[in-house]
Amino acid sequence: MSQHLQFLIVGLGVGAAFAALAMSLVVVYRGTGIINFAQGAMALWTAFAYDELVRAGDLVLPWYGLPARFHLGSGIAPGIALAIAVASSASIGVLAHLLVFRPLRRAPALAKVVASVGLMISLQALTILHFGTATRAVTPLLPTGRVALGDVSFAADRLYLPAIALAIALLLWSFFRFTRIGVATRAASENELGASLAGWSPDRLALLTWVLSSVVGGAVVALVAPATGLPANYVLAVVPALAVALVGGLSSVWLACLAGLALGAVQSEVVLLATKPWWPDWAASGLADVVPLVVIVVALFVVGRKLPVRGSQLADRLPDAIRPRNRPWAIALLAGGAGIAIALTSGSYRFGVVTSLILMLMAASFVVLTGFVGQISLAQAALAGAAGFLLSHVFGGWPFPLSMVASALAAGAIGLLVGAPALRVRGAQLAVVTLAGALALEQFVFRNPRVSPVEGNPIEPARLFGLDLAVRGGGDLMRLPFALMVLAVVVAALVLVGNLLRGHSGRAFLAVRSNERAAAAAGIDVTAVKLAAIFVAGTLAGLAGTLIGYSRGELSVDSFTVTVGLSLLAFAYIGGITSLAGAIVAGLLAPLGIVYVLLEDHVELGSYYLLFSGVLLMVNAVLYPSGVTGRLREQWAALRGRRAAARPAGPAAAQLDSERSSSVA
Amino acid sequence: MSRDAVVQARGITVRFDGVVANDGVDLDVGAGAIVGLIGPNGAGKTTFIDALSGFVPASGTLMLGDRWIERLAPHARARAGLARTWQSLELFPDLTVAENLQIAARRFSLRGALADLVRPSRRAEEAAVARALELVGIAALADRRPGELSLGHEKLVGVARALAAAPRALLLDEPAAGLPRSETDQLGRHLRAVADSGVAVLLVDHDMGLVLDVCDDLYVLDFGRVIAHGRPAEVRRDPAVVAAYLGGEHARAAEAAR
Repeated sequence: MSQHLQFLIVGLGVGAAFAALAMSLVVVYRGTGIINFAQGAMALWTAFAYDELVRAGDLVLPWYGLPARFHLGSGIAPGIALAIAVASSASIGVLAHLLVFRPLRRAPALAKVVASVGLMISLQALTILHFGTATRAVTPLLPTGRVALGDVSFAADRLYLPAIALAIALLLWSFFRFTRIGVATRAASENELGASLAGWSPDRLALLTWVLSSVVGGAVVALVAPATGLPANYVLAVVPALAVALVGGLSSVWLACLAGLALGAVQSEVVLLATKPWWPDWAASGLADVVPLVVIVVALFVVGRKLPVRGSQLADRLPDAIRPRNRPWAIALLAGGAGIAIALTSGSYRFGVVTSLILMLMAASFVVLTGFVGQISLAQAALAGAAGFLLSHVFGGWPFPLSMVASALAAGAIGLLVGAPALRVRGAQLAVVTLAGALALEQFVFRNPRVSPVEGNPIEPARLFGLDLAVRGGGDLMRLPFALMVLAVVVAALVLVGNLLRGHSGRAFLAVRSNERAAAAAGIDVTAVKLAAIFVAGTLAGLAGTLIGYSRGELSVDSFTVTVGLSLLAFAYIGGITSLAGAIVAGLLAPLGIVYVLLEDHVELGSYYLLFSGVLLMVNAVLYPSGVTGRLREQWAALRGRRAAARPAGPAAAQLDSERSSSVA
Repeated sequence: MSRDAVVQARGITVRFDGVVANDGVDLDVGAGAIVGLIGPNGAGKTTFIDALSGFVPASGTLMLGDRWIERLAPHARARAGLARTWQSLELFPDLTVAENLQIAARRFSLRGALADLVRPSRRAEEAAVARALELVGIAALADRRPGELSLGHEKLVGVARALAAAPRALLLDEPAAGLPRSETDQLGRHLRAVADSGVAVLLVDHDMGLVLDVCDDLYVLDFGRVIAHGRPAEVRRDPAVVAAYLGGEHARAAEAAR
């Protein structure tokens, strides 16, 4: 019993961080309608900044290239350090609002989610660049003397932390309830136009909520950090926070706070239970990350329909989706070009070319699901990993193309399982549940030593009709037959997907993307369309996962982490998420692809590439939502337009007209 | 009338948090008939269309032809032959006019999706689409996008999209709102042609000229209840209707004239 009490109290301390982050999420959602996936990353930055001030007396600012580290003097008192760190955190909130989210206030939910993912990636990269990847022991600010309670003893801050979380909940609640500006924020979350007619600028209210949320999240996480240690992957603490914020319907500060504390306690108890002899061995590792997924799924079923949707002023449309035409000469040209690139390269360059090809499938999976149906999945890399895992452990004995296809289809099916709970609700919920699903898969399956042995998950080389398709052979890092096999698979898959998107299915996808109600009224089963898209996207990701597995000879967890998944989404968006051409560009640019390999020759990339992708993602979301390819297409059209205008009117104008109509067809 | 009614709604009741938006509405629409549903603002007309098409939870029964459909999901009601339009248009801006119609004319099915993988069906149901465009007189707009069109044309695209599914019944939510007189008259003629092709049409509109002109039968709704029902000429003289509705309509007309 006393052991349970001990774990419970320890868990409450961790829960205080979840509670604070969840309250921050609720505050931002109320003030702006944005689900801020970067909440954990912002708090993590604050905690590191605090520690750096205490440790070295340095104030570190969240950018790179410009001078970022300023020495303020040694021996700064922890209290003052915390105040400075929280102030810098508030300024991150202000900058995020002014530079990214304010310009996006009329943008579709998709762009907002993508931008917050960009912020999350950027802050994670900056944290690694400035503070390293090692877990830190942070200087405590709260008293840490031992407190005895019966035969249980624990550090005093374990009691202070939940009390602080509750006090913050009380303050926030009073703010929203009793102050005029708090009430105005609530009003604006229901009806922006109404609030602005009553003289409240929704914009200034949004700014206020950004500051409030970064202060609350950052301060509490900095206080909790001494108790938990500060790992650089703390950005993913946003997942349990999202879970408990959903319990509070993304609107109740109290429920978010209490559920956060409870989640911390439950996680801690589950970890304790898993040490008992009767607990199955295989289910002992990574359990703490399964709990938030379960909470999210249950919360979506219970409160899903009641989640508030912001009564926003007129939202912009998503960028036009470009339906592929699959013209044979274009396919032949692209495939031929890739074939030549493979033939002319060798070693790490050929590896880069082939990785780019594989990642085109990854990007295409985002094009189908996000670009054409408007649903965001953050689990595509995890699904790829699942397919590789199945190829290694389940379908490995099957003959070659069959084993690969079966693994990919199974990944599609897993995608359905993960995505199904989010289908009943509109908005960004699919992103939330898939992020939690990806984290649970990574921790509970891929990193679980009982399921995924430490000596690795070997993947047998493929053989087809006696042809050896092994990736390596005789000192060759990547053999030609293997590279050509990948090319064939990628071309075939992209052609099939192109067919799907240019056929009636693509039309139905776009109808659902633009207007679910109207699509249903026209007889489209919206749920079936979304499920089909989730399945196709999952299968594409799975196919990519098996090819990555073959190219490495084994399944390595690090190729399929949540962070990898987020950065792949980033590149898919940067390339242009609304066309298959965008997927091709995304594959070229993605990490470990050919562009990366070529750049790596000259500069050490590593975390810079992550930072680059995060920043570029935000820039794209704000300025070029149709990505690189969309931008090129627009400029090309503008150039044609100018040239046509310069020529005498008549046939030229007619030509322009047909040009325009064919580009939308 | 009710013997050959295509749409038979009985006791349709919709409650929103204690407010009764529709209170036991009974309504029939026969094949080839245009039935009008009018009433002051807030009477529950759009709610009634939402209830019949399955977009708000309602109690009561709904028969389409010989099938009970009150338990079906919205898309299944549409497939059963109940099409609707929206006051707020709700066209698909990403698709051309013809593609907007194709969405309604052809189902999305998983089998179709599999077939698309190998042989993409680029052109679908061209005959049905052409017929629907022809019926409302916008065949020339087939390759345009909704965003490029005038409001009047967009409204007609909405009607044509509903027709493209070859429905047995068509529910129209204020198709004439915001249209100039000449386009309203044209719309009236198109609706007559639609009904003459055998479709049961339920028309909700504020334009009394249009409603009195084209409807064979008229229901008046006030505070969610039917307060009058009959031929347009009779209903117009009903004192309850004059009190509840036409007074408000005069105010609206005066407002519009300003």
